[in-house]
Amino acid sequence: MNAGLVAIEASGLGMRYRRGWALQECSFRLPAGRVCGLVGPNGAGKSTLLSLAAGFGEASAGRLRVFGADPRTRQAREQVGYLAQNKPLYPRMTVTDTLRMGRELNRANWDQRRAEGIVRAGDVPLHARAGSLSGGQRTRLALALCFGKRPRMLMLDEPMADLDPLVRHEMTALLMAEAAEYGTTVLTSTHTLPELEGVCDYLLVLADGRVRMAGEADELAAAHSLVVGALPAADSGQQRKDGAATGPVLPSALDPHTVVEAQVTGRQFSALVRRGAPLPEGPAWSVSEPSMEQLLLSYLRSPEAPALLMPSADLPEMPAAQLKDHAA
Amino acid sequence: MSAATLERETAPAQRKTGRELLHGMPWLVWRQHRGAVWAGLALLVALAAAAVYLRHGTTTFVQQHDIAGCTLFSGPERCAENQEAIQLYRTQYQDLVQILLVVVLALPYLAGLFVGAPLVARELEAGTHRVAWSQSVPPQRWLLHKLLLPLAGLVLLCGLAAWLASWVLAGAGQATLGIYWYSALAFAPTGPALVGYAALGIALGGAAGLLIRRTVPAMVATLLALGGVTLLLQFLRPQLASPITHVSKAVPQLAEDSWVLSAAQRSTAGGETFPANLCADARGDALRNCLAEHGATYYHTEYHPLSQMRQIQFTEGALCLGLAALLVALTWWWLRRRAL
Repeated sequence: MNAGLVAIEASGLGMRYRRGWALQECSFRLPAGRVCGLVGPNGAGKSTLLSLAAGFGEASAGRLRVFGADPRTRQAREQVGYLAQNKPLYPRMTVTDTLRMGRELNRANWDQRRAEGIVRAGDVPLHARAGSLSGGQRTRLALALCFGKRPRMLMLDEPMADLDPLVRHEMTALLMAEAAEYGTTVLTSTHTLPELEGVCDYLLVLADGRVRMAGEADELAAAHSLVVGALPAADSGQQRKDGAATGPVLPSALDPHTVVEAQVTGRQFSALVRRGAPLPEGPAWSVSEPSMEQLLLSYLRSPEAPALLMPSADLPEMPAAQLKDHAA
Repeated sequence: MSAATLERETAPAQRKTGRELLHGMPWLVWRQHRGAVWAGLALLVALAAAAVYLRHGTTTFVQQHDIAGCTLFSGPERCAENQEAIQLYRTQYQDLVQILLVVVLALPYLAGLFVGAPLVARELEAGTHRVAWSQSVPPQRWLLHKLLLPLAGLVLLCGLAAWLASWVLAGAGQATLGIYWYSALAFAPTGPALVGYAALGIALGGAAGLLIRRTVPAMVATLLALGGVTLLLQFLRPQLASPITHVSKAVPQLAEDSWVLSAAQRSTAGGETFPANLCADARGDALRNCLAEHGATYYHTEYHPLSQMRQIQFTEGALCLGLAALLVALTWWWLRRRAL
């Protein structure tokens, strides 16, 4: 794939802090031009991944490329906007000075008019200190700083976490309008799923520092089925002799599929499966497409289920020697 | 937006660019520390005023009472009649000059504490470093600007302050005033060593800030480390230049402003010294005989004359600067390796 069409490419990426691995063996691709949700529970490694992609540190293992460049190079920095968690700004700087900082530190590609336009549209007082702004105004200023840089990709770390629903809606609209106008790739993290609905067309799901799922949001949902039905009578309550699995045995018709998660209540079962073949309605069960929330929760609850990467997010196999070479 | 409003909006912006002297990281550093810059300049003006007042007061007093080159209990003959004037001179000016020296001596510590330690620590503590790093400037470049620009400013400030203090002490006369260059109080603030300490204070503060990431603990660490280096260098100071060895029959009459390291020890003609308790019990002729028996009929003295003052000060300053450079390099390397 052309490097220009790939916003982020990670292969075998790992990041180790003193307390342990925050990211481990992460391999995925984020195609350019997408609005991608980065989802995972707290401590999944979302912030670590974003800060590495923003060039804030050196990965402990593997390799990471942003538009084909090492994220720590100036070339990559100029192409990436990053809004860190809690939206830091210099609290004693005025709005004007904050924008001037953007201009001074992004001399190659700063767009003063665009940044000022975003700030003015929200009636943010230009001579107020950043520390005295409301949550919405702060977010607007932070986004103005990001977009003034004219980034090809904008990464946001839980940008809406501290906003009330009204402002959240306004900021999401601003973000989407700006991103759409300039074709900016967006990667935004969250641990609250509803924030993403109707906004993201791509998903990257992390849990325990590993990639659990990546790909187009609608295709991910379409690749799975939610099967609800009654357990087969003969197998009901039967335990396997090897003791490896003590749960009830699902209908054998589900065998060609990967069961991500199964729940049994009495003689009823409900299973989320990744289809390996067409899965028709059965005599004793019904099949439906899971909602995005159901899908995400199932994957996050079942760490033993294999990760799913759609072809656009998957990396072609790379020889081990080449990987080692890149890591060094 | 109409053409008229566009014009109205861009015109002031263009006028402004004509006045903008600083760009990029230097602008950000200036914007963050302009308060400290004004405070430093105000301090420098106050120091200069105090120095001019003291220099004028002391030189006038010395001229009026003809006590130039005099000291208590020694010096040229004319001084014997001026002892009271010297006493008066010291009561009037010694404390004032000492206060000036203390203030100047405190500069590197204040710099390390209130400029160096918060430089990086406050940003890491508040997370604001992420704002700067999200722009196009790489963190290493950010760090070097954050450290080296304030460091250069403080080197300049301390250089000027040390020059002022040295000017006052030279005008007042070390021996007459009773404040000698080799005393712990006067050595650093009157010479280039102060510049080295200032650079070291900033470098230590920056390193502590990056390692500890919290402002107040970083300040404490900076103060402890700088104090430790000061004590160590004070201990090494006599060795920073080779002292002059003087062997003579009589107890030598050294210049009043010589830094005597080992005073008048009994020795042989070759300079071989004896323990202080040699012939301690003997008196009169017995003592003379006892000394002659050991061949200890000479006095051995080691000292630094005033002419070696600058050499020692420059060496100490260079040691501090070298240490500061090493620390900045280590800090830079540490930031390269770490993710924050």
